[in-house]
Formats: sequence, C-alpha cells, structure tokens
Amino acid sequence: MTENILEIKDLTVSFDGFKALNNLTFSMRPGELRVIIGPNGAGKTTFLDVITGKVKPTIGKVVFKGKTISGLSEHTVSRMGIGRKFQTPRVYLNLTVRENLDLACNQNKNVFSTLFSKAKSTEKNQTVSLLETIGLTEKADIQASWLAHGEKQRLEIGMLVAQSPDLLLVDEPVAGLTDEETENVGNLLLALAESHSLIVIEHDMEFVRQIARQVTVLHQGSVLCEGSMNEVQNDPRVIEVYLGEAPTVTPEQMNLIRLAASMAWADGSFAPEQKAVILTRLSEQFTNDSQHQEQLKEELANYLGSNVPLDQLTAGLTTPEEKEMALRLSYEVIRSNGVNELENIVYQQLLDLLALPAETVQAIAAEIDAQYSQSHQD
Amino acid sequence: MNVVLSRRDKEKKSRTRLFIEAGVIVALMILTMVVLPLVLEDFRLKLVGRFLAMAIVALGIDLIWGYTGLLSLGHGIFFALGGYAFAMYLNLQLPEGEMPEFFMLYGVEKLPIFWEPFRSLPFTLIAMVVIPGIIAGILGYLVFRNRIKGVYFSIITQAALLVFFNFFNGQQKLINGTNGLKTDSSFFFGQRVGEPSTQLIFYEITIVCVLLVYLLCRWLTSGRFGRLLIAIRDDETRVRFTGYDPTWFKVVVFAISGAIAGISGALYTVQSGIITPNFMEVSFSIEMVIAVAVGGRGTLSGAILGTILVNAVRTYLSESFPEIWLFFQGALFLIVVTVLPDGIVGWVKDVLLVQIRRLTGRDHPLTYPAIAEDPVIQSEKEQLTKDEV
Amino acid sequence: MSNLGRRKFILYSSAALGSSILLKACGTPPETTEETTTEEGSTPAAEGGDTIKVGILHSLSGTMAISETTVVEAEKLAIKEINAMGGVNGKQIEAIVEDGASDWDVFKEKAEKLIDQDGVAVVFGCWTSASRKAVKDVFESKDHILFYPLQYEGQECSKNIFYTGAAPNQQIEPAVDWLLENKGTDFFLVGSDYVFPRTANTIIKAQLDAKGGTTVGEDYLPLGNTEVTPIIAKIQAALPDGGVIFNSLNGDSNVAFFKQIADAGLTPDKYPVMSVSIAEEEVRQIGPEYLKGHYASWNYFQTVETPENEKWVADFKAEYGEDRVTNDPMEAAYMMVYLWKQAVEQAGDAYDLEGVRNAAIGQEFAAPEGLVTMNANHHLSKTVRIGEVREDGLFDIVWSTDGPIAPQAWNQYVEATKGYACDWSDPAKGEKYEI
Repeated sequence: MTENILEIKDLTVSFDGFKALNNLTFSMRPGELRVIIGPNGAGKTTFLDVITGKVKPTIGKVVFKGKTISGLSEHTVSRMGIGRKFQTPRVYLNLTVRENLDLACNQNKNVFSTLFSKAKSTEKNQTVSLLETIGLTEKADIQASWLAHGEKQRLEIGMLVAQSPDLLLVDEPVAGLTDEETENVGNLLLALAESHSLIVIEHDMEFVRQIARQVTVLHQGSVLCEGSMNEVQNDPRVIEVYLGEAPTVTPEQMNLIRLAASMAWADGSFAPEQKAVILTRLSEQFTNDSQHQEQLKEELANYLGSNVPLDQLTAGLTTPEEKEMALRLSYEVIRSNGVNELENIVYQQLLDLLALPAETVQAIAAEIDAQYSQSHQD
Repeated sequence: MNVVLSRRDKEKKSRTRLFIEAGVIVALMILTMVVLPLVLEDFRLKLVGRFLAMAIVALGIDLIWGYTGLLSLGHGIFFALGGYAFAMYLNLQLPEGEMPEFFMLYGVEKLPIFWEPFRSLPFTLIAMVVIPGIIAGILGYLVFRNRIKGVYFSIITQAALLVFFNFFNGQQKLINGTNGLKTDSSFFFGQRVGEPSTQLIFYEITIVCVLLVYLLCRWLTSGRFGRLLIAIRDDETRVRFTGYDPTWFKVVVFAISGAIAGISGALYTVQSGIITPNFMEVSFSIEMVIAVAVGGRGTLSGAILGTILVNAVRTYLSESFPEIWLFFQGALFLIVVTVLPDGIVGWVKDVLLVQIRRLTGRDHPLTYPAIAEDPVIQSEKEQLTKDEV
Repeated sequence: MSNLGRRKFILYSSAALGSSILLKACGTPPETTEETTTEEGSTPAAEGGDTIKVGILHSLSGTMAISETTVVEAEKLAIKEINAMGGVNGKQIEAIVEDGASDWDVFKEKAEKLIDQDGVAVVFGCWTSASRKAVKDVFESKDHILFYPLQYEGQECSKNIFYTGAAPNQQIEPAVDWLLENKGTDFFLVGSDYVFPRTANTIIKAQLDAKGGTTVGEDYLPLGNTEVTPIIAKIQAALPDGGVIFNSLNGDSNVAFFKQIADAGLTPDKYPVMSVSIAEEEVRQIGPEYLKGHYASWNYFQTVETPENEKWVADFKAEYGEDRVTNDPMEAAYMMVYLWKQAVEQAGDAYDLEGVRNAAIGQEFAAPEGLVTMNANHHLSKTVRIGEVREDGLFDIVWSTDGPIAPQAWNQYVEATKGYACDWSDPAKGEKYEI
C-alpha cells in the first residue's frame, strides 16, 4: 500500500473559541480526485486554509507526503508541492497571460534569483505547453484583465499546474460560470486528475456529479461522511445538513420519499409518471394547504436521488402506521406506470422487510387497484 | 504560423520602441545638460536642478507605490537622511580642529561622535545611499513581516516620519534642530558649494543620476522581478500561494526605494543649500506622492514628468500669487487626480494617442480594446475580408 | 568673461572630460566671491527704471503665517506711505511679495529669486532665526541687503543684514535686572526648544550668576508642543514659595502654558511670568484673562505715548481695521522701511548696495517707540520697556530706560563672545573684533 499523500488527524482550528474545524480526520491517497461538499460554514475554506498554511491549527497537524506542513508559511507549503485555486479567479490582471504563467513557472522563487536570472528555456517551453493545455495560446499576449471569467479560471488553474504541484486544492471552480464553461473546467480538472492529486470544493451538485469519484462531506468542522457520490447523496444526514436550512419535512417523511424513490428506481428507470405520483401524493399527505403543496413539491424533487438499499430505509420505519403508509406509497408508485418484472421483485423484497399482516397488504393493494381501475373507467 | 508571424511583428515593434526610447533619452540629456545651461539664468537652472533631484525620489516612490502598490507617506525620512549625510560631510570641510559654527550657539565643545565618520567622502557617499536603504529595509521588514498593508502601511510610514521629524527637530545640540544644516558656504574639493560653477557641476551630476536611477528602475521593473512587483500589487495572496514570499520582495523594493530617495535628498540639498527637518514633515512626503500621481503612477516617465511639472507649476503659482497660491495648487491636484485618474502619462497613453491615431486614420476603428486585440476576432476578421475579396 | 561666456567654458570643458567632471572641478582654482558680486550687482543697476523694486519675504502659509502676515502688513503700510509722499528719490517703491511658507529651504529659494530674478534693491523679511540663518548665506554671497525686524538671540553680525529688533541686551538683560530688583532672585526658565530660547537662557544664567540670582530650573518644550503639565509640576517643585518664571515659549505652547499656570493657582503676585515672545497679538489670542498681571519686555508697546505712535496706531487701524492691535515686531518692520529709505536718499542710488549699506549706519528715525539710531554693528539703539498685561489685552508700561540703549551684537555674559564687538564702519574691525 502506498503512503497517503495527505494525512490529517484530529485537527482542530478555533478562532476565539469558535471551532471552525473540530477534530477533523482526513486522508487521501496519491492520484485521488476528492470532492468536498458541505453546507455554508461547514469549514471547507478553513480546511483548505489549514492545509496551505494560511491558518495554523490549534490542535493536531497536517502531514503531506510524510512531512508535517502545519505551521509552515504559505509560500513554503506551496514550494513543497501544494497548489491552491481560489473561488474567484485570482490572476494578475495587469500582466499578460504568458507573464502570469511565467511567474508561476519560475523554478527558483527567492528574491535575488528572480531579479538576476532569466527565464530558462525549459520554463519557456513549459509555458507554451501550458498555454495549449488551458486553451489560451491565442490570447497569450493579452492582458489577463481582458479575459472572460471562465478563461481566467482556466488561467489560474494553468498557473497552479505551472508550479508542478503534487496536490491541487480547488475552491468552487465553477461558481458563476456558464454551462459551457463549466464543462470546460470540468474536463480540465478531470485531465489534471490523471497526473495530480486533487481536492475540489464545490457547491454545484450537477458539477460534482460530473467529476466526483470520492466525496467527503464536511459539517460543523468535522467529516460527516465519505463515499461515492450516490452513497453520500442518499445519506439522510447529508441531505439534512447539506440541502440547507431547516428542511420542512421530518426525517420520517424523508424516509418515505427515499423509499418511494427506490421503488421507482427498481426497474432502473425513473419514469416521469412515477415522479409525478410521488411528488403529488407526498405533498398532499404532508400538508393540506394547496400553496404549501406546490412549494413542497419543489423541495421534495431535490431529495429524489438514486438507489439506496431497501433494508436501510425500512429500518427507519417503526410503527405499523408508518409501514402501511410506506407500502401504500410504494405500491402506488410502481402501479402508476404498470408493474413490471423487476418492480415486482423489489416489491416482494419490500413486503418481506415490512412484515405486515397479509390481509393488510391485500387490502391496500385492492384499494389502490380499485382507484386505478376507477380512473381508467372515467 | 499566424502566431509566429505576429510574434516576429511584436519583436520588431518592441525593438522600434526601444530605439525611440533611447532617442528620446539622448535628446533630453542634450537638452538638459547642454541647452538649458546656455539658455537659463543661474537661478532658474538651479531650480531645474532641484526639480530633477526631486524626480529621482519620485522614481523611488513610483517603484514602491506605482508598481508594488504600497503607498509610502514616509519618503521624507529617506530623502532627508541622504541630505543630512551629505550636508554633514560638507559642514565638516573645515580647517583642522574647527567645528561647524552652529555648535557654538548651544555651547557644544566636542563634535558629537556620530559626526566623525562623515569627515570621509567615500563613507559619506556610501552612507547617503546605504543608511536610508537600511532604515527603509528595517522599517519595511517589521511592517511587511506582520502582513501590514494598505492604509495601515501608509499610517505607519507617517508615524515613522513623525518620529524622525521630532528627533531632528528637537536635537539642537546634535544636528542644529529646526535650523537645519546649510551647505552653500562649505567647500567641496576646494570649490565653494554655493558658487555657480560648482552648482553647475552638481546640476550635471544630478542629470546623470536621474538617468542612472531611471535605467535602474527600468531594469527592475521590466523583467520577472518587475512583473512580480505588479503581481504583488494586483494580488498578494496569489503570489504567496504561487510560492513566492512577498515579504522579502517588498523589503528589497522598499529599501531600494529608500536608497534612491537618499541620493535624491543629497543632490537636492547641495543645490538648495540647506537641509532642514521640514523635509520630514508630512506635507512634503504627500506632495511627492501627489507629483507621482499627477504624472501617472506605474510609469517611470510619468513619475519624472509629474514631479517636474508639479514643482514648476508650484514655483510659478507661488511667485505669481504668493498669498493664495496654495488654493490654486490644491485645486490643480484635485482636478488632475479626479479627471485624470491615471495621471498625465496614463491619459496620453489611453486617450490622446488613440485619438490621434483615429484622426490620422492609422487606427482600425474599433470600440472595445478587448475585442480589438482578441486574436480570435482578428482571425475572423481576416477570414471575412478574404471572403469579400 | 561674461556670464554666458564663462558658463559656456565650464560646460564645454566638463563635457569634454565626460565622466571626470568632478576632477576638472578640482583643478580649477576657486573663484573669489567678489567676481560673482560684481556680476550680480551689475544686473539690477541696469534695470533701474522708474520704480525701485523691493522684496518682502515672509511666511504667508504654514505655521508662521499667522505671525508673519502682520509684519507684512506693517511693511506694506510703510511702503504705501512713502509712495504717497513721493517715493524714494522721486521713484515709487514696487513691493514684490514672496511666500517663505514657514520652510527655511523655501526662504532661501525665494531670496535667490528676489535678488537674481526680480533684481530687488533690498529685502525686508524673515521672522524666525532659522529662516534668517537660512537666507544669510544668500545675502552674503550675493552681497545684498536684508532688513530683519525681530528681536532675536544676537551672536550674529552680518555685513548684509540690518537688525531692527532688540539684541539680548535691549530686551532680555534689562528684564532680568528689573526682575532681580523688583520681583525676586529665584528664576525658573521655560522655553521652546530652538535657538532663541536656548541662547537667551544661556545669557540669563550667566547674568544671574554675575548678579547674585539663582537659576532653580530650566526646561524646554519641542516647538508646537502643548504638553505643559510636567513643566508646571517642575516649577511648583522648584519654587514652592513663589519666584520668577522667565518665559521664552513660542506660539501655541503659550496658550496651554498660561491656562495651566492659572489653573494651578500660580498667580502673578507670587509667580510673576516675564515673557519675551508675547506681544499684543499673542495676548489677544491667548486671552487677557489668563495673562493679566504678568509681564513682557519689549521696545515698543501699543500704549507707548509718543506723537509718532499715536499717528501710526491710528493709520494702521484705518488701513487694516479698528479692532487690530500693533506690536513690537510690527513696529520694527514698519520703521525699517523708513530707515532704508533714508539710507537710499543719502546714498543717492538704491541699487548702489555698498553705498546704501554705508549710508544706513548712523541713520536716525523718530519711530513710534521713540528715537532709534542705526549703529555701526547694524543693530539699532532702542529704548527698553517692561509692560504689565491689562484687562483689555494691552500693556501698562511699568518701567522703561531713560533713553535708547546701544545694542551689543556679541553677548557680554557669554564666555565665548565676551569682549568682542562688531563694527562695519571700520573695515579693519568688521564682523567680530576684540574690544
């Protein structure tokens, strides 16, 4: 097993008693692309700050390639091979694109060699190839202030690469970008991931889905959970903390939604009818106010992720009423676009897990069948 | 291939530009070194000499403010230190055993110890550059190490200025306090300093120094080092995260800037004939900064031009309207700074040249510079014109 | 060699030598001052014309402006009067005003400008000793004339300067004598930290030593500083039962000083303060209520009873406003214009600087303060007076000398200058000779 490129154990950063990072433990293998998500104030930026030396840890340390780097200044950390990209593009606006890259390429960054030595040919070549990588060859001699937002983002990423770092830290690279630019940046990051270790902080879930392999969720300064995108996104804790302010649905209701979604996904496709049924039914169930129902539909749509193992979900159902409720909803969902083979299998699994009395199951099924046949007759 | 061509074009262009610059410099040298002394009266020539000496410190200020983005309001310290160093040397050009006259007024019988080394010219010449440089370096290190920047840096430089002013103003017995040191009646290589012939020599030396300091600043600002200064100005955090330690770059630049101010102060003093703590007053340092702003910060020619212009206008106004000239001067500063935020040179570059080109039809009528220079658009334009043909 | 020709020569020779300009300079024999003088002197004479140009050089901006503008007004009034009477030798006086901006360097520059550029026949100017010392070089190297209106510390006697204020023996020394006789023998000396108070106190200490007084303390405040509390504490400690305070503080420091001694209960009956930099203008600014009962020593007070003074005060108020006051520096500034006028009339030509300087010695003038005479040491014989501040801010003259006192440029109490004098009427004696 290779050594972890980054190793953080029980790290705490507190500002005047407020713990921005609290007992955080994190590790990463070389070559990994890790996305870090978390609600506002989760400590994502502090997390980057503490790695890059901008903030000193109160307790604990950061180990990079086997060396402790916490306590070192930013430029030392940077020279050791950690590059950081800021949220807003930070390039030198009054320099040309080429000059921006050239400053980053400079191999010896102390005062006197910067003053007295000329750019080496290797550095010049590196600049040229970087210009190609970030797609700005045409604009090499234009002042950076004239670049579009996305171009600046790419330039800054290029400058990071020019430092030839082992680990790249990227803070919300696609905030405020157009869809096309977002895709460009995404592809650029994926290309970089082939030769660098990467930590990306991102808010935009679409984008996270595009690039993520491993996701770490931060919450209140600690790691809430880690896993693949799907695992993380369906984790109710994550949904609770990530999607925001206080969710208007209760955890029990959330569980129902998950369950219904799982049923819908059972055949590997999530039909629009299924979605409509879930949203309508649930919103009707959770509130009587029609205006609120509309709002709720929108909110719930966010929670409809993908597959989560059924047993995890059913474990959350305790009372018979809840179980009946879940069954009713699930049956209705699969019934909405006609029951097929796969859905039937999953439905049987659900029945086993719920372990409701046979008569109750039949009664519910009959009731819903009756509704559907009725509506067909109309 | 397109790209290669344009680069060759660019090289050619930059070489032409270099030739023009060299030509302008030679012309200005001939004008100031040969023509002006023949045309101007002694008194006016001396004024020009003093303005040129001030232009040297303006270059230093431009280096730290225009390029590095650190507004120093304390350059009076370094200017005055250079001036005092040279004035002390000149004051000591006395027969063996004698002391500068002013000591008598305070009953001082023994030359203060720190005066002793200034009997030596080599020491003095080094000291008037190195002492301001070192003090600037130390001050800079203390400030920059703690990542103090922006307006706090300016305030600290002012505070330092006040400390130095109070010391020099208060120490009658050491350095003649508020009266300052006079140089005109001293001798330099047997020549009386105030003599027009000696003054002419100092005048010519000043011009040579302006050129040398200009070339130094040009070298500092044109390469990677200069670009890094601009980078520090634009985004210091980025610089830090790129692996540079901005502290040392800033310390070095501030020290160089201080040393340049020292040269300027020495040359100014010897031409004005007196150095007093007044040069460490806040207003003097601010005026120097304003001069750079008027000329155009971030351009070396702007610093020189602004200083000469501001001082010339100032002299003209104070001679023509002795009672109310300060109001005119204030109004002028306000107008220039609000109407021409990039200074005169900035305005010439951004507005005037563009206008002239348009009028002479040498400009491609384009609206937005970003679009005008965008190679993609240019290649598209080429495509289009080709199609038309 | 003509001016242009010589410069051309230097220029070409230095240009030819290129980088060794400096060496070349060392090789040329030093040129004598006289050579320059004749050249400079010849320029203004050629410009003669219908008017005589004179320079007025004071601070019109900066910290000294508030004091110096009053002196400019007095000088302008004198010029106006003289012009109204037909001018000098039938020529009108044209005043060229320059702003010294409270900056000694600027004083120097403007002095050069007035002489070289404007070709003035004389300059009336300066207030602080620092500004006078800064321009002294200019007037000496160009062999020109400066009239200086302030009382000052003495220890100077320039061939090119006429001092129309008091020398120390015409203000400080009589004041000390009077205090010893009438107010007590224990002195505390307070002053701003610059050349005048330092020198004045050196003289006072020597004088007290010689005459049986005691200096119980001495303290200085940086110019413009208003932190006077420590000084008051020191005075109370040094003079627990009262004594004399000799004050040579300047400007704003006085405001704080007098307010605080009043607050601390140091009343004039037990702690009389003798000031040498406070005249009618300053009393008005500080507030008479704080100063009432304290003393000042001058040659002139607005309350001097001479016909000349009555007329002058009336004229001044008519010109500048009823609420205005006159004081010693203004009076000295006013009369020095007349002294210069008389000297020019005797010499015949205002631009014959040498002649004017020689003619100036011995000039008498019935000034508002009484008769003054220009001595051979370029200082004036003056009457000395001591005034007590009244409620209305003017002074009651409580003592005065019987007649004018002859000035001493070099102080006779100070060891280094004891036994020396100055005499410009005798080329053999000059600036400083042993009596």
